[in-house]
Amino acid sequence: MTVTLKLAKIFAKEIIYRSRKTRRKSFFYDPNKPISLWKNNLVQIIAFAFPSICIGGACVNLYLETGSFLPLVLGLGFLGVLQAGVAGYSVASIVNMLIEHRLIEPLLTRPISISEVWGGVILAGLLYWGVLTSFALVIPMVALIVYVTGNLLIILTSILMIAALTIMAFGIGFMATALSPGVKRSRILRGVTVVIWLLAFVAGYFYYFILLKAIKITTSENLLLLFSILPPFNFIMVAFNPTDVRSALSMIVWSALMVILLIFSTRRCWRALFVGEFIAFSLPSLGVKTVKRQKIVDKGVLGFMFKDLKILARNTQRLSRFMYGVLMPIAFIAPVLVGVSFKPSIIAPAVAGLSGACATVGLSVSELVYCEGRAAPLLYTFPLTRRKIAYEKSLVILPISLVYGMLLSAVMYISTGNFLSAIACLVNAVVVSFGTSYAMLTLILRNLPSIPSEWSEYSIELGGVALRVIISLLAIFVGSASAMIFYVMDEFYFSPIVICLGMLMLNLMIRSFTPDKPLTG
Amino acid sequence: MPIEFRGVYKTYDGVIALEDVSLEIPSGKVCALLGPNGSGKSTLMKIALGLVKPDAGTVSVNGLDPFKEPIRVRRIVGYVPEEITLYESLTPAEYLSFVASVYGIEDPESRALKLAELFEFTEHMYKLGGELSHGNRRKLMIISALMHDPKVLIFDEPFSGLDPTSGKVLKELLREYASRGRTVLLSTHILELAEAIADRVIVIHKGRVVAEGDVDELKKLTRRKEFEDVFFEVTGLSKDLDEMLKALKEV
Repeated sequence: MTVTLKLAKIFAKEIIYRSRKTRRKSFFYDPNKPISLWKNNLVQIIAFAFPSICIGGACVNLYLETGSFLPLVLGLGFLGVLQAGVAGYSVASIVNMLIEHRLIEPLLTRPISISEVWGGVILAGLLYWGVLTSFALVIPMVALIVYVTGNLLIILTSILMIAALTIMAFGIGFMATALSPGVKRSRILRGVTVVIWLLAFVAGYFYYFILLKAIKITTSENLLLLFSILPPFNFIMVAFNPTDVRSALSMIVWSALMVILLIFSTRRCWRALFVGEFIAFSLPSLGVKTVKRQKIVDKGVLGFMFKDLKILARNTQRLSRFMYGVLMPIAFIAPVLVGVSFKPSIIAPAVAGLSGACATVGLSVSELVYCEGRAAPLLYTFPLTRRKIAYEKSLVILPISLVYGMLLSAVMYISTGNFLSAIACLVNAVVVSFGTSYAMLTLILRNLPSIPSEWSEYSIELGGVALRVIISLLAIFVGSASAMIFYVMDEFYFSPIVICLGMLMLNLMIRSFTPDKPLTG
Repeated sequence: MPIEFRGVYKTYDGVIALEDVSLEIPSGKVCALLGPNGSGKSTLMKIALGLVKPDAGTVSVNGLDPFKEPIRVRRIVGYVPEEITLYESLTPAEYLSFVASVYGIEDPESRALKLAELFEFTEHMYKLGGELSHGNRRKLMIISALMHDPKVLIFDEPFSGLDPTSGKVLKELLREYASRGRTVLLSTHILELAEAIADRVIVIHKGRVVAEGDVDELKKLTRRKEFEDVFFEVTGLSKDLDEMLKALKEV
């Protein structure tokens, strides 16, 4: 076994152990055995092959109906983008963990070359961290195209596309890691990153609408031009139109650019990998940085909220996931609102239902526990009980739900002119989001390990994820349904009473089986 | 007694960490726990705080059982863990604000700044935790443990990574706390340090208390002049050490 492969296996196993911090065996992980290539990839390959077959099938069907290859380019291109996204995200997350735990540093004192270490990181990413499995998003559709069209050139161009996109994914992953210290320091960059993350989360959602419209277009000069110069579509265009110099040329240029991106981002990232991002990126700025004085104050019950909000605000990835849960209800009614301009008859009931659907926040409050990170064992040493931590963490939701509720009530007031309905909207939104958040946090805190050293991100996932999702979905459904029913009955202002009672009962039930003891208890 | 251990046993996966430990840590004295790596010092300290549950035996801190009244115990204890854990994306000022909120500290600003000045930490108060060096992280842990002016100090290897000035300050501070009638329990590997600072020394080896008393008492008891020799004598490591030194010549 080469040093590179050995390193890849060590990195892969170490990352899994650090994220789980448990010696508990499972089908996918046995701490006493070397990491298994097939166990690590098989389930994901099946999961990724499914959308590939579905999208591929739809596009091939359209191709057979119309004879135009554009749906094939569009479908395969979309899967290519998805593959790059999945691979890039995996690489960024794992490299971040390598940096955070400073796993590369001990290797510096050993007779191992930097290229071997990099090889190990890349190979581990490729074989064990999801890059290899992401290929399953593309391959089934390529097989379908070959089977239906008999075009063998698509195999070659798809291989080139996968290779180029993988190089780009590593480049983006390394670049994202290299840029993260700058992002942490700049509020503007943090804001931009959160918006990018949110767009990435809803990209599939929007693409669905684009796909619905674009798939109907079977011939378009503009679309052809766009596809022939834009990756990854240009790779596929070469297979269907081999004489088109424009596509071939752009494929070569883009491939070269992706290689340059990888080289550039590798250079930026290596220092952080070897010495940790804070040391690597803070050294040059020492002495010139202006120190902004912060007052140390006892914020009482709000102390937790300020701490969590600060940590969240500085971790764009966590903040985006959290915001996604908060803003998710809007996505539910977005298709309704788009195209209806401002029709109060449609908007008002939608907003009424939305005010009861804020339980989606409950799905994302786990981020408030994840954000504790490696400092979580500190919580065990403080005079705090599980219930108290859950309560104080859920206070983070209050200001957010207040803003959200006020927006909804403003829309309700503008569309109906009814002040009571607007207030009901506000109360519903605040009560539902705070109530579900507190319930979810109590459940999470209840299940956290009682030994500090056993705490890991995995321990949050152990805390009855399925139960949490079921309760959240139930709360979303019951909340929005009851709000809608009261709205239809023209007695919307009664809905807060029912929703408050429902939330109270849910929380009393969950609270009753959560002991008021510290995390160690 | 402020801290009392009675017949404490603890095992990890069948390996004995503590075996029948009975100890009394008085107030008004600096007590140092000494022992080789893995002797059970940290486990004993964690048990006193209620972080690790013993398999058998009882513990009390100022008359409180850390497992029955953990919140009250944590309110009166200032604890510095051996392994430093901190929020890397919070500045020390932000972290100390959080600590102040948890304990409800009066005028936390002046308390924190006083402590920061003492440890020459003021200039680091507004940097991100992740940017702090190992020594400065340790200082932050010590400052945060002292923020609520605890009645009982449990410091696990507090001198590790500290510069000589801060080390000296910490020594004086621990003595000062003890002279005010507080309980001070610390662990260290540095024998000279224990000799210099501790009024009472407790030596633990393989989970058992093998010696207890002040340094002079132990020297008399073992008829040794150097405290280092006392340590090797009571732990029974002197024989191992002789063999190791012999083997060293063969390397």
